[in-house]
Amino acid sequence: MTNTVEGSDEVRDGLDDVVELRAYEGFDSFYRRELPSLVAFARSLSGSAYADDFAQDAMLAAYRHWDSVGGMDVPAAWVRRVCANRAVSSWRRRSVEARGLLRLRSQPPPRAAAHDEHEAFWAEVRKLPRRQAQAIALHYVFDLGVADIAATLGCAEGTVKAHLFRGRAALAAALGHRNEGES
Amino acid sequence: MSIDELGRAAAADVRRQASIDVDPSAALVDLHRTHRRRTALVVAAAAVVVAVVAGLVARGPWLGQAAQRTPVPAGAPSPSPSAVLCPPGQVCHVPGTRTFSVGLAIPLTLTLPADFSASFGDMRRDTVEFYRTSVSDTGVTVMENPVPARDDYTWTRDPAAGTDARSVAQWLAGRPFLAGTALSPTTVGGRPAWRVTGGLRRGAALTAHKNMLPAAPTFASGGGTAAYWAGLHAEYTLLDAPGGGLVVIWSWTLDHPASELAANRALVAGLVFH
Repeated sequence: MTNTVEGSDEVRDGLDDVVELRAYEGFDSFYRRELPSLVAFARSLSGSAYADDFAQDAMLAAYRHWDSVGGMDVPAAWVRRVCANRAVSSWRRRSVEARGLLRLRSQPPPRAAAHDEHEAFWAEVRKLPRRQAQAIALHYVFDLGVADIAATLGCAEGTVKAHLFRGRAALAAALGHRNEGES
Repeated sequence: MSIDELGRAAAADVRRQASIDVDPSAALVDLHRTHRRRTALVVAAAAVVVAVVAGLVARGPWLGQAAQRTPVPAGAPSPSPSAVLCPPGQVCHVPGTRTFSVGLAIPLTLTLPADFSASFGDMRRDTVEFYRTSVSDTGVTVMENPVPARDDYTWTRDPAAGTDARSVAQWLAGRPFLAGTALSPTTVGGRPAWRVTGGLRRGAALTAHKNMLPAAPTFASGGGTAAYWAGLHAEYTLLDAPGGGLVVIWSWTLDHPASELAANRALVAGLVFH
């Protein structure tokens, strides 16, 4: 795909090509904006050295279905949901990790957090039940409210509230911090 | 500090770290490359289905005609599904079987043992990987015409190594970072080959890095590298390809007992290079 600028003299290949060009540009722009935070989300949820691959796999899925995903109100919610499911699925983790094992050009080993206390926080998040961990990570990493988390995970707002409440309580107990939600 | 404050601080930290580490432009190039490769696999598989169906149709009614087929001369290649060779850079699957053709520089066909995934990895012009399904981080990497690497960080050719399979196998068995090595004859797809076993010597100098870990280098190709590092058990099988060229088959398991390598041998023995 050439980097043709829409409206330039080079866009002469007919309507189909223009439509395709716009779709690709739309995804690329989305990708560049969303990838760093999606990687942060994957690292917080998986703690794996291959967390970045979970984010990339989710983005690849979005790219394949961009005709429909790109037309959604919030495409980011779709890709976050895919990433959330991949990062907590042990089967998919093994598959991605196996594929990444022998890469020549590996990136620096990703760290979930630089601070020991922050590392401990995410380690405890990963011990939570799957849905609680996803809700907590979506809430903090993307600063999402209950309604947005519910839309992302495809569940009721009341369910998200329960996940957040129980998750915070478990984290507070495990890490010895006060839980303002209980006071 | 409340748990909520800790969560927000931890999130800010992980976001900041990701924004430093991640290069979206480079990752986007990688994503497009991966998409093209996977699309090519789907197209190739469809092409094989069409070819097989077309072949059956062209033969006409074939039930009961087996005895009328043209006799195959003794010693000639049998018309097996594995004779289907795939275009370069693609993987073709013979429908209804676990037989695959891999379009490497030296074409490769194989029938996957049951314990291996049909999802191959890291495929390049001269490299392909196969993964076990019953145990994680265990598999087989095929490297065609790799460079026997010097014992340093450069991944460049060691002039002390030969060029044919036997001499390179001898060179590998004599690597200073290995202990308990053994060199034994074997076969790969019916062709003579040499297997090198052994483990990383305790206290050996690890002069290179792989996956950001200190490692002892063995081979490098255009697409990847092979090495020993802590926690990795490996054995190598080397053979001379038909028409020339060196093939190195790296069998490995990470963080599992070396006995896991035994199950990899079924795949290695069945690889046929054309």
